[in-house]
Amino acid sequence: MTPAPLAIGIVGAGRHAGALADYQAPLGDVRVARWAASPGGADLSVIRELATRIEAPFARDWEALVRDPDLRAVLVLSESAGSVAAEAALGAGKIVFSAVPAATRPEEVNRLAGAAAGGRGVLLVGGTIRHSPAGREALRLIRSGELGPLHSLFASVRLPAGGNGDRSSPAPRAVLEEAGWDLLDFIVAAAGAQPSRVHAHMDTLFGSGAPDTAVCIVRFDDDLVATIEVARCLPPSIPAAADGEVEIEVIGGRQAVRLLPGAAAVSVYGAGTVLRPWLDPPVVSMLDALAAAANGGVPHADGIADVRRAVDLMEAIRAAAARPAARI
Amino acid sequence: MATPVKIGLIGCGSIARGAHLPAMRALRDRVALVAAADLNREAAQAAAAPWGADAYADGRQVVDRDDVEVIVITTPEAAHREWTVAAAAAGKHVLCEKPMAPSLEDADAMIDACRRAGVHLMIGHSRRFTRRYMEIRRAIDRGEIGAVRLVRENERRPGARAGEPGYYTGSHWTGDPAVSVGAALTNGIHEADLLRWFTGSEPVGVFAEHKITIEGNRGVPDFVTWTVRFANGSVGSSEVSNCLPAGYPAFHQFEAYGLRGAIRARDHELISLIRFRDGGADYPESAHILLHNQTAYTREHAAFVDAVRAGRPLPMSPDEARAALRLALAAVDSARTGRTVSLAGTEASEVPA
Repeated sequence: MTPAPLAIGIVGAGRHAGALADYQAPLGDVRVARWAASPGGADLSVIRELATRIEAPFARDWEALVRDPDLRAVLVLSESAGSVAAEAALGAGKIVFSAVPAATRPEEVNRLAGAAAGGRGVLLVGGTIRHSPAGREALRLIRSGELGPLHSLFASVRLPAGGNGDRSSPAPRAVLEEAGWDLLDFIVAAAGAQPSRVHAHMDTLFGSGAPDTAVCIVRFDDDLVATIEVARCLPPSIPAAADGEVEIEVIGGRQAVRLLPGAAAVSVYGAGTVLRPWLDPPVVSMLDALAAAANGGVPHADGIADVRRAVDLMEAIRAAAARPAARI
Repeated sequence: MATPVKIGLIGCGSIARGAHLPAMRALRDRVALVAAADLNREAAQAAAAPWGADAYADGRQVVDRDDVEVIVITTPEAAHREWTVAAAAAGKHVLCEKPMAPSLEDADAMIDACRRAGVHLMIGHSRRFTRRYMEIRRAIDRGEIGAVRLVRENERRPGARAGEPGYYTGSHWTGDPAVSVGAALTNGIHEADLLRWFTGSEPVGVFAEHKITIEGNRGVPDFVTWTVRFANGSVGSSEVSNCLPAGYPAFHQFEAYGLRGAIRARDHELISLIRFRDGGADYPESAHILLHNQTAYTREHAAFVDAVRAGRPLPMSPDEARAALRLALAAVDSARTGRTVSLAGTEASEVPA
């Protein structure tokens, strides 16, 4: 007998919410039982509309949602307070998929680990690149050994210069934290080893405010060398998808792959250009992973370990960029 | 019509055959090859024969000829100093293949010898004569993208892995640790020059990693990635890989981001010929079309001939080539030591226009 779809709750309306609401196909083995606003409620009206669109019950109280005994799993989409929501859901013993950076600092990872241990919750993480169709296939090729030993990895994310595409406005957040998470999440998933040496340069090159450019070179224990560039540098005349223009190349001893995870098949030209990817959105893959973990049929990755590796790499980049030698 | 400039060629290997001799042929009304030398005499004969020139196994015999006005040096860089100093002492102008030398000491000796002798010395930084880079420089000079803040130039060269004779494999000199420093100089010297040229500033710090990726390589790093901070605050990065599977396109990926716009030359988005076979797709002309730009070498030779015959200024001084070498060698130092290397405070901070 086919099992009933897994009833899940969703918290928040981040970058994945629209794709989820627009998917217009069954969400595999899950059913959205409730959708709650982010902690703080800033996205309340958006979620009310999205939940209505997919005929899911809307909930004001995210804390009640994560404590609801009828829900075994929670998908965290909240950009503004994802870590808080994930921590609470883990503490309530849920299987949690964080589709947004669950942590960007070690202390946040420690809090998540503590909540998971205390509440016997399970954390799954994975960014938009790792869960894009191209990213999934690339990781499969890497892990299967088809590429051979990895020699080099080049990865870049380019975003519109300035905040929200306005080149004159100051950068709102350091670009490494804003756009680096998904890239680092993919890189640590692809790299089998720990970083052994990190060089980095972070600077504000295109405006004012927080650093808008991060250029890093990471050498891993197994001799893989990764070159990482994240920059808020695109002029308005170069359109980019919502997650930026992502480009990754992995060169192995036997094969090489180039990924354009956000490649658009549909470009809408108007006052500006809007790019729309044509493949299944990453959130669908995330829901599949959530259902597989809940159903127990497939061993799932240790999300705490995953997020810790990504955060450790982010910390190593920050530390390298702060070294006096890097600021000559 | 002016008398053709008489050229002596020292080194008749692949870069001579594939780039410099075709450039001379294209300029045959302005230049004449009169002598060619290579340790491999057959290679010298093959280069000399179409011109009715003399072939030698010793470059000294080319330098000693009274009729030679210009020595074109296309040997591995370890021999550049020897032949440049000898040519200058004999009163010959020198057009020398890049990289200038394997050390700054050699570069200084070359510059000093040519200045004292009053002869021209130009290092063949062919990218400065490549149309795309010329256009990029013009656009930057016109202020089309505002101040340049971030530059990337990646280079991909497949082939060596497929067992084809080439860089870093077999007996090719690039894979011989006795005479080759590796990708930072063999390929990366171009990137070092371009990053300086396009940011318009001198480097103040560089960090790099390099490694060996090609099977059979005898110990010379064939991969390099580096990031440079310049005196004007801009940042440049480059990654060079020679280790691509057969079928992978050869390409450059150039991107410059300025305060008012961007310039991109991303070859992999412009591949115009794809061959489909049972084994998959490949890009048989990408190395020729995208990497090897013959016209650039013709322009390079023409500019040098104009300097010799018409007294025009050289488009690139040897000091510029030395500055690129300084940056590339600093990247090697960084890759070997694992440290960021400082280049601040000892040189001019602006690159001549």
